[in-house]
Amino acid sequence: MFKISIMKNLNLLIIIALVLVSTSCKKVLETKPSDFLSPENYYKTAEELQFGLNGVYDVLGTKPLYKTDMLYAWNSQTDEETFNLWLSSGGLAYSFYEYTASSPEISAFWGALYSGVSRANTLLASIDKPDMSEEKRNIIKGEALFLRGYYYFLLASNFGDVPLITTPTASVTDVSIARTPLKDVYAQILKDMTEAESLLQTQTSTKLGHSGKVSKSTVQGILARVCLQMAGAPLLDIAKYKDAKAWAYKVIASQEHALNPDYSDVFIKLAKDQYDVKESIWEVEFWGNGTEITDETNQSTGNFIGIYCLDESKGYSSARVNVTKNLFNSYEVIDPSSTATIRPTLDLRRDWNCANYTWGTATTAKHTPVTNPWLMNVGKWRREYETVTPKTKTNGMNVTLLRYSDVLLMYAEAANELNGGPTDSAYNAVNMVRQRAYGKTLNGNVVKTITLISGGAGFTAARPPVVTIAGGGATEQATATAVFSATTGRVTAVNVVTRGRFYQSAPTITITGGTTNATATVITSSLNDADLQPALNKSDFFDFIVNERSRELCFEGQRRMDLIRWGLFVTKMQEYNNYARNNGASSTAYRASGNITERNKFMPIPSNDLTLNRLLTQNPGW
Amino acid sequence: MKLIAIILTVASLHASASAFSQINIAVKNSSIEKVLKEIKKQSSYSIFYDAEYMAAAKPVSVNLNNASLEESLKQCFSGQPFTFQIIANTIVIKPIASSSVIDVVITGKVVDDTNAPLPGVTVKVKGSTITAFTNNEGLFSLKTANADATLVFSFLGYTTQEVPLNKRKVINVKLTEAVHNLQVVEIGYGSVNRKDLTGAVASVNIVDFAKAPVTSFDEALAGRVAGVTVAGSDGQPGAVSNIVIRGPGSITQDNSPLYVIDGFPLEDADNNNINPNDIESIDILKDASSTAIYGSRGANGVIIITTKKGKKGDPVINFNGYYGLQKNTNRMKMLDPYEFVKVQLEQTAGQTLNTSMITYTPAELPETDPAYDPNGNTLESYRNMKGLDLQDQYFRTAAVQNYDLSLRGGTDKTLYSISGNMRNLEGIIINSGLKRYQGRVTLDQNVNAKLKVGTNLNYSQSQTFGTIQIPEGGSFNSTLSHMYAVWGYRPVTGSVDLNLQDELFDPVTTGDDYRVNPVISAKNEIRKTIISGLIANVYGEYAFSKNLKLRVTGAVNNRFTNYESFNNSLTSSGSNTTRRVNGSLYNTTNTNLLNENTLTYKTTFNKNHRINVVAGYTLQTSNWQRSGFSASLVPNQELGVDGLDEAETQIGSSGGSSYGLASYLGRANYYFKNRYMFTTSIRSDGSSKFAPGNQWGYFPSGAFAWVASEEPFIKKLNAVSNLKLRLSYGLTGNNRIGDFDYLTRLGFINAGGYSYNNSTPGKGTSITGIGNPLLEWETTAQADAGIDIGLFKERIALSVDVYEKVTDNLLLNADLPLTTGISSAYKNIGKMQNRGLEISLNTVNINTKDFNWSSNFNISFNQNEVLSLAENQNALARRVRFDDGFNGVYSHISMVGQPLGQLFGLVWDGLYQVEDFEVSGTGTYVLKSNIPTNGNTRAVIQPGHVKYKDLNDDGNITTSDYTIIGRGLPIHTGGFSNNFSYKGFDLNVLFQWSYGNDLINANRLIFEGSSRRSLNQFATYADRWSIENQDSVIPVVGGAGPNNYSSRIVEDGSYVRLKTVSFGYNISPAFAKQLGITSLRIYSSAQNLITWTNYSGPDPEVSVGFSNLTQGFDYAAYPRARTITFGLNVSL
Repeated sequence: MFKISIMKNLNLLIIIALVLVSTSCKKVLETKPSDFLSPENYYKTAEELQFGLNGVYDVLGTKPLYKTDMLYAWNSQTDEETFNLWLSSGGLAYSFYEYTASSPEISAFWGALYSGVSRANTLLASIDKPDMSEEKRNIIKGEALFLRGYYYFLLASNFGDVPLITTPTASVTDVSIARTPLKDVYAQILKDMTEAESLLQTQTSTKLGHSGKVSKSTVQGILARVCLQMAGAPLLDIAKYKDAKAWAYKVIASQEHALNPDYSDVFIKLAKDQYDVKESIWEVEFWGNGTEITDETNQSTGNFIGIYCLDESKGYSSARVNVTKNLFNSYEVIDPSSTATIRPTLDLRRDWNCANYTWGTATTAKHTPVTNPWLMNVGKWRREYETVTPKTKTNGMNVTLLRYSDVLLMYAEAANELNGGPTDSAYNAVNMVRQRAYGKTLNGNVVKTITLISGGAGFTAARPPVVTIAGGGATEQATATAVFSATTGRVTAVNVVTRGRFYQSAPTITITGGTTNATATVITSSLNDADLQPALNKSDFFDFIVNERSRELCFEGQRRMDLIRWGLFVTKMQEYNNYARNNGASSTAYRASGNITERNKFMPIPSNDLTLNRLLTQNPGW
Repeated sequence: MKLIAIILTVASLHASASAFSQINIAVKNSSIEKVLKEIKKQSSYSIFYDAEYMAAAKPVSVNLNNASLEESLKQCFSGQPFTFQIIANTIVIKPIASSSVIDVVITGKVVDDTNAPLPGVTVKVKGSTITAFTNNEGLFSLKTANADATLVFSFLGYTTQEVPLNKRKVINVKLTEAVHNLQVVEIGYGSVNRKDLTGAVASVNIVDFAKAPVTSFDEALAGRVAGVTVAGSDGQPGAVSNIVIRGPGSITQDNSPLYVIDGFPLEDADNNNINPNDIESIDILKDASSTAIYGSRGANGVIIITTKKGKKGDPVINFNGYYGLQKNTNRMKMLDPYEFVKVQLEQTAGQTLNTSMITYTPAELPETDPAYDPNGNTLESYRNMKGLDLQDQYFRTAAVQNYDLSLRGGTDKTLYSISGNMRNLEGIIINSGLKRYQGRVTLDQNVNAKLKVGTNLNYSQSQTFGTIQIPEGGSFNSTLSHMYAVWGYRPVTGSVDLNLQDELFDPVTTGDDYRVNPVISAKNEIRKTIISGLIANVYGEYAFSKNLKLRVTGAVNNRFTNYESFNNSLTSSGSNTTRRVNGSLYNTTNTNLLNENTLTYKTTFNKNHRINVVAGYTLQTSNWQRSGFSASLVPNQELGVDGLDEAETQIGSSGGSSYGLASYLGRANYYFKNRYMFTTSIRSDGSSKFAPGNQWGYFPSGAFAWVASEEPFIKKLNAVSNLKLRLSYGLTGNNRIGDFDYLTRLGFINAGGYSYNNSTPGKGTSITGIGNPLLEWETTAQADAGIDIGLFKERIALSVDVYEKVTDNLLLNADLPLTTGISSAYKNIGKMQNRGLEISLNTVNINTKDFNWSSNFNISFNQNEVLSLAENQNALARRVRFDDGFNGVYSHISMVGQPLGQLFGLVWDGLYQVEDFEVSGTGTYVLKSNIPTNGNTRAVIQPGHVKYKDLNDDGNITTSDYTIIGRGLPIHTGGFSNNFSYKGFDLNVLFQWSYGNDLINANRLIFEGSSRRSLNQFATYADRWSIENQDSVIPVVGGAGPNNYSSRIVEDGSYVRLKTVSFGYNISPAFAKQLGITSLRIYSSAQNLITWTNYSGPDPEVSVGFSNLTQGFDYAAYPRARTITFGLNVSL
């Protein structure tokens, strides 16, 4: 009985099994991904658009761009900034313009920019999908268009003609795309950015309250930069000076922006993770110190480009770049004839930008003065002001991409070109930058020089000179020390220690302590100290701008592009090379400039793409 | 004589009488005389006899009805004390003993276990020269006079059987195989006898194989089988060997074969979870006609592993246990303190602030120097000083223990098997090792004559632990490796106050040198992977008739992987200031489900035609799920991994994916006269890995074999016992891509986000992969021609195969222009070819009663050539990420027209010699302007610096001077195995080799001329170039030039290895019986005993590049251990 039933049931089971089998075949082959999204099913809500936009922004903070390479590698080897260590050929040699078309860093840079473009393209293709408020949509669209334009701007200015792609990559097989002529790439950049500007009318810097997003001013300011680049080499579309001036003027006229009275505070705020939306118009956002869930940290400013310090409570910095002596010397000094090791200056930017001290290798940081400019680290970004601890090898300091002073200088430059010489407004713009640099709003008039009239007598170690500065209506008095000779007992020099603040008139100075008082006179500064010499012609004004931009914006990634568009890149770098060789620089300091030839106006098209995209061609000289 | 003469006379007279007379007699207890008379009457034959015979005659009872004469006589004479003989028409009665030699004809049939006839079996009468062989039907016939003789049946590969005749004339014998798997070969969805094979299928000699004291079968496979290359990446316990069958078939994708374990096909088998002692057979399918039955997964060959099941008979308990020791045989010799300090001094020579002198030889400083110490060391103080060598502490003699216990048996209806394994392997590096616990149960039950069900359950847990020397896929800084620190640690510090052994960091290491005391770090790091695997197979087999069988299988393969890592503050990572004490914990579950349904039809018709047809339908699904988290800033490090949840920063992750495969398969074998054999198969696979429309692929194959030795004209040649020619051709596929590569992926990732307004970063979406809906199978067409020759009754068996494998439509992770926004995507593009020759020779060299010697020699040649790559690409260059300083240069290149993964670099041209320079006025050497640089600026180059060939003659060495400087793939590989036995002793010796491949010895880039301070160097560095030693080829201190790969550090990676030696003694069966056991073998085995090589690094079997494109790269690998074990194998 039992056996029979098995037999019968078995036949039945087989039939059932076969039926199950044929139906489950289809099911087995119908798998759905569970671990990733598909773009077709995405971008359906405003929130999802925002996630997409985050991805477009994200590229800014990647290593080939502003996390590391943009300020540290691509733009650190000019006449204002140089490496302080000889990097071996396999390591960071690419930073010395020792890259070739096959250097991985070149393709990473190119690739990062195109991934930004591609992310923007993907987002823009779906921008109309969600049912949402048009106002919000316009803002997301405006930011995405602007960022695409910005990535193309970096591509065009670094690589020249590039493939212009404005739709999402549809196929992995049809990937050969020819280069678009530079002027057409720029036309697309202007189109994207102009449209962004109209879409972002309501997104003002004030309304945003921070600088991490693209505001109306950002678009306008960067448009000014784009137009200046177009007006310069290699495109030389000089009609664009007009547009550059107009865009810069829009920022100025918006009343949204102003200079921070304190130049150093612009960078201290960055270190403290504070915003200065008036001055610092657009920043790449970085966050944390690398111990968090997501690494959104910055490796360049503060660490690689910082003041040497291995103490993490002070702020770790491997400080791999130094300032150049010619940058240091480009700041006007009070007494050009002085033979002092470091001649005093009223320009507050010099001693902020060129760190005259180091924290050194000790585990507990020790302030050690540095007097040789070639050995000075870049002091612009100082980690001692950071608040997030421990201050590890990476930080959350934002990187500024557009400052108001840059807008002012761009305005001045464009106006000078357009007008065949500087206009009053051009002067005003430059002087605003310079007066801030001299601390005019911050400190007003200060003690400029103290001239010793008579050395007095009877000063000894037991009876040292006491310097008192009084009067002049200052809110804070200057201080000074007197140097005396032990043999003669006379004061030989009076050195200003602090310059005081807001002198209405010259203060009086008394030097007591000896048997006979020494006497000296004080001269306070005036507006003219900062101001640009009036009535310059176009060329002299331009020359001034060339240096002023470096004094103001050094290390911020502008110099190389500025020199290229001015057509000065090769000559200035050769000049610097000669200067460095003959002025006590180490060979590291002129290694990069020795490599510069005409071909360096553009980077090489990466060989990876050259082989895989058969319509692509190489830049001249590579 | 007289009698015969008379008979002959009479016979001639009666010549006309008929032998076909019909006799009819029915009598009971009648006298024989009476009956014979009646016969005489009915048959007309004459009868001669003596009356004395009749006196002794017994009464006769017969009932003959139309019987023949002979039959009638037989009946009458049955039981009589005499017999008869018919001579012509005369019946002569004679005494039985009177004929001295009367041969008896003995006939019979010899069959194998499956009752299939066995041809060619030697049948011998013991103690005589009488010998016969079985024919194709297994039948034999011989004559012997001795009805009590003993027949000896022997056949190569089968247990010799002795059968006493006991007067029987028909002897049927079933021979059992001595080594079962050599004759029955698993071919996927069925098995055949080796003689019926049409394709190229190799079987592993499982008896020899089982003698290697290894963790997983792949470690013992090297050198065993022609066409199968096994190369370990390094010696890490639990590291899975890279098995490649007939050359790499894929460029960017995995080349490992498909594993079929007890019928379960797996692309990523976990070899450590299979106990080698459980393995009954390993069959390796190599040609397309064999592998096509696995269709879309067959292109890289198939390894079929069958585990042991119960055997009919009394329960047999077997215990096998061994204990052994492992040792690192290849420590590197490092510089002694004197030479080390000398290097340090040379590094800083001439510097104003001579830090080396301050540290090591303060007595040699000028007296004006503030650090001058007259009581301090000079260079001479270091002579004969004993330095610290961390190899002493980092390596250890490690123990290995392995125990197997099994119970197997069965009845006619039930076969059962229970087995278990416990293994504890200590690594030769401290705090590393492997532990395994494994158990298996199999049960096969005949429910009735038609239905059979069974199950095979395996559970195992393996734990591997210890620092991974070279993490696969990790972005890698050379100084993070423990081996870097072990070798490079300073032998002396110059200071008496500093005990380097107690410090986690040597204070001299700064900046990017992350050297950490490896002994302390290794003791504190936790890296643990626990893999628990459950394989459950259940089958039912139903025989509709003798010929037609249905088999339905359901199987589950579950794998749980638990990965733990923990770095406390005494480790390199945990002392890092960013993450501090950190760790991670990840769990992965893999589930594979399989359903197979096959119908097998076997029949023989008209005697000469045999057919065996299989048709089936299978479904397989696979999915994995992963979850876990990593944590930094862990507050309570003493809690270890369990305290990770208390950490401030925890990063969670989860993921999963799945795929499905549906297949129809069919195979037909047709044998005509056992002489002509045809096999054809087809499989159709549908895979969810491809877009609808491209899911189904078809993989046909065909094979023909001609057993020439069955042809009469060859049969005549006694020397040839087997001669078979095989030809096959077929298509197979490869589907090894991601589960959803046909779809565009949008990633939603932490790292892709952005922080606005200093807020916690928001996540971002971005395209992480662009789908290619056109993806389809990669197809390999393989042609194979083979010949099997057996001579002198298989004492010499030779197998030779040649093949050509062309893989087209390669599933290539093809580079894309970065303008697409991504760097690569899967495409069906590219083409590759492998051509090869395999020779396998088995010989029985000596075969005597007491002493036996047999050998297996196999050699495989494979020639690989890339035929095409992605669009417009003629080369794929790759770098191994081992050191940041080398990230800008490529180490390997795969070019069209060349083999895969060639070594790439500069051509080394010795060193700059004094005559390459002009001596300037100040006595400095200035490189002559016509001599090319080495990549450094001319001013830097000095005599004794490394020199390269300037291939493009531009006076400078750049990456444009890179060329192919070595082969990544060997020219040939093979093995030579010998078995000796003398009485109870047995000895197996296996040599294994690889010839013609080169290695990049990247260790030398760091330890033979690195500019890093206070880093010890290989002892060879003492012989570097100097004015006094101008013949040296080792650059001076600081003379290694810019970071480049060059032929200077490319070395011949050929080697011959005495891989396995096993020596055992089996006690005699008689003695065993006295002990109350069945058998006992005491043995000693050794693995990796001796290696002969010119390679200067620790071990030539190494590849830490982890891909086909970056072969033969050695840097800081886990050393390979030499293992010697002692064991005992006892059966009850």
